[in-house]
Amino acid sequence: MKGLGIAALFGFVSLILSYGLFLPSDLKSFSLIAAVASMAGYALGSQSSKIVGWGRVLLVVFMATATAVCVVTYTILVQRGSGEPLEVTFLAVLLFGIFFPFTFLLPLVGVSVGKS
Amino acid sequence: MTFDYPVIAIILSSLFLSSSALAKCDISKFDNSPPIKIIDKVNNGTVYFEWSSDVDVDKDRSWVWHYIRNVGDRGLGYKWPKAALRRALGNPLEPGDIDCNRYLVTGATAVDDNAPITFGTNETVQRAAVFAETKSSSAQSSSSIIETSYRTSSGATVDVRIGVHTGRYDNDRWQLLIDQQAPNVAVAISLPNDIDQYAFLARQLQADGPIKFDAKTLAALYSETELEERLTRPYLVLPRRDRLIKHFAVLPAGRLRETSSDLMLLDGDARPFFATTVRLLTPDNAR
Repeated sequence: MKGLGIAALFGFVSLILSYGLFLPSDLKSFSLIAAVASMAGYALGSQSSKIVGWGRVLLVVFMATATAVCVVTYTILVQRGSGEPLEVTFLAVLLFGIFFPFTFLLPLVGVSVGKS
Repeated sequence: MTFDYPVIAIILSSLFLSSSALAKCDISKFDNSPPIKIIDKVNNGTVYFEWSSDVDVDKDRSWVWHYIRNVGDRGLGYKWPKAALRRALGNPLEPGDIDCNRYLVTGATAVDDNAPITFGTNETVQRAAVFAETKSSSAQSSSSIIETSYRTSSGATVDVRIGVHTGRYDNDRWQLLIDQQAPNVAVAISLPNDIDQYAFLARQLQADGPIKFDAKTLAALYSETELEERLTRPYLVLPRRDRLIKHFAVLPAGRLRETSSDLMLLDGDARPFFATTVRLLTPDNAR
């Protein structure tokens, strides 16, 4: 139950953050994608924190890279998008791609809420 | 329903570009009379479009009309509020297509040079200007015509033309005619809240409603500040048809007043993809 509460907290924070991120006014509802991605990312990341050794290192590197790539691509696409349906879909995917790996990463690098 | 209505006959006979054939907005007759049109092209390397506004006289009637033509090779989502043209992101104006609207004016017109166009996912703002009526005189009828197009799920582009005409039917009655040439597009129109016999009007128009749209649906076309008021408005929805249909309604009315109403086009998935504002004369039921 506690894990679920923390995941929900991350979801809420991501909802607020993504709303503050540049989202076109037509697509404000996409902040829900960020919330869901964060909750799923944190929950799965917590499960994966049991992995040790090189597997853990690779996972951290992969997720950190995925987050960075998605942030850069999202920023470029939002600047250059004309409103094509494919662009809008891609923005949704990238938003998921920003928040899922980022929150997945947090338990892996030792960030936790409520632990001393 | 029988169509014994002299006023509507006059309106229809005088329609600007009165061709009944479903076609794209024909801008070849644009700027056929003074004043000179306002026109500009926008090319930021990503999108490339042309916008224009003009007042033209046809058969002694003045029409204000605006259009946006997508000259580029990518779809264009935009909002041009002062011209009452809006296109949702994700359901854009296709390359080579034109969105245009025009409405009848009876008073003087002037240029409003603060009519920005917002376009793309970056919500880039482009300076623009429109002709607008500055002083309205007591009109006996109103007409608005909208021409646009949309892409179906199978990839075909379908042209859409909607005409909305209002006026006096006789001394005691008001009439509304909606000319729907919109294959497989539903038309949602908001009429003033204070119209009596709303249900009777809907029945005559063969429309669903009145219904209210939620914020998620309207957010595709209106900004947050514009949304607030629109969430409370009742809309009548003319269902999808695969052929030309004229919706006609008559209601008892004393005085008439000028109003404007939102008109939205909804695609096959009931998602609004285009919105405009139409001018109407409606019964004045203010008490």
